[in-house]
Amino acid sequence: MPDMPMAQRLLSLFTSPDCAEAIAGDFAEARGARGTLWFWRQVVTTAIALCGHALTSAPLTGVGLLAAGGVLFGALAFTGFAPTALLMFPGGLAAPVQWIWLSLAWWSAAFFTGFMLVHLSPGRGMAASIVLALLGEAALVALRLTVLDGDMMRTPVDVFLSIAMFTAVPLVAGSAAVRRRITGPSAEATAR
Amino acid sequence: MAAPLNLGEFEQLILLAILRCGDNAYGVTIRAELAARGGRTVAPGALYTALERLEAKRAVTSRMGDPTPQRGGRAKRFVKVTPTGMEALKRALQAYERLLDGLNLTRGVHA
Repeated sequence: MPDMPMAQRLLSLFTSPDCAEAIAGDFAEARGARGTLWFWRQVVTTAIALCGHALTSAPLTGVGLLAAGGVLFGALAFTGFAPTALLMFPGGLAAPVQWIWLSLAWWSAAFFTGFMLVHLSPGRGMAASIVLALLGEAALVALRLTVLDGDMMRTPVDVFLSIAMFTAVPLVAGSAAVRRRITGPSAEATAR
Repeated sequence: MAAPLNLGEFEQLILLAILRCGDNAYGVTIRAELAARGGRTVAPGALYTALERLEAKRAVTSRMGDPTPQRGGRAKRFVKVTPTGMEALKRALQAYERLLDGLNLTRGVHA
């Protein structure tokens, strides 16, 4: 079962390494009779359930983490590097170097935000990052469909949206990196 | 004095299934017991989150077993009902008994 470590690592993002090992083992027991597709469906649905449980078991903490993440990302993404990009590289939003600079600023801010959320709450930070990423994606899709009408859909706006939508990836990656570091040694030992 | 522990219906069923499984209570056997005697198919995610909740409430404790080859070298996590969990379960079941008394619901006839 070469994909077992991957399943265990995915589960350990949302629960303790011991629990992740036991849950993966439980699914492995029934895998022979039910198949690989069933195994992965159980792993993914259980990871989603554990993610939801992490936030709903302490709703106020969950809301606090989401607010903290939003504020931190906003502060990092819309001050410092991002305005500097506009000042340093005049020439409008069509200048490629400005987009690169802006991307690096936003993606770094997202990575750091994810990193900090798990530091603030090791048990719930990962779930908060994922929900924050989903909320961000939903807001961008809504923005694209409502505020930005067809006439405005020129290349700069599309590039802006693409950069903004990709921000979810470093946000979740930042949280996963810290979570792996926290749960790392024992999880790695059993995942082998 | 600490407030008495309250259990939801699903939590009560899980505690009963754990008691029925005895020393072999872990994810797979608890789910099987719930399906066989409780008549309900439980999603694994619901079971594991409920077990986490019960452990946080100190209604159950867990210990890791030995890794086995048929589980891809992964250990089982055995769970056991604590005295606190047992007390809460008894209280919940006694409340059911008092409410059911005289109703004859199990025979499908109201008194």
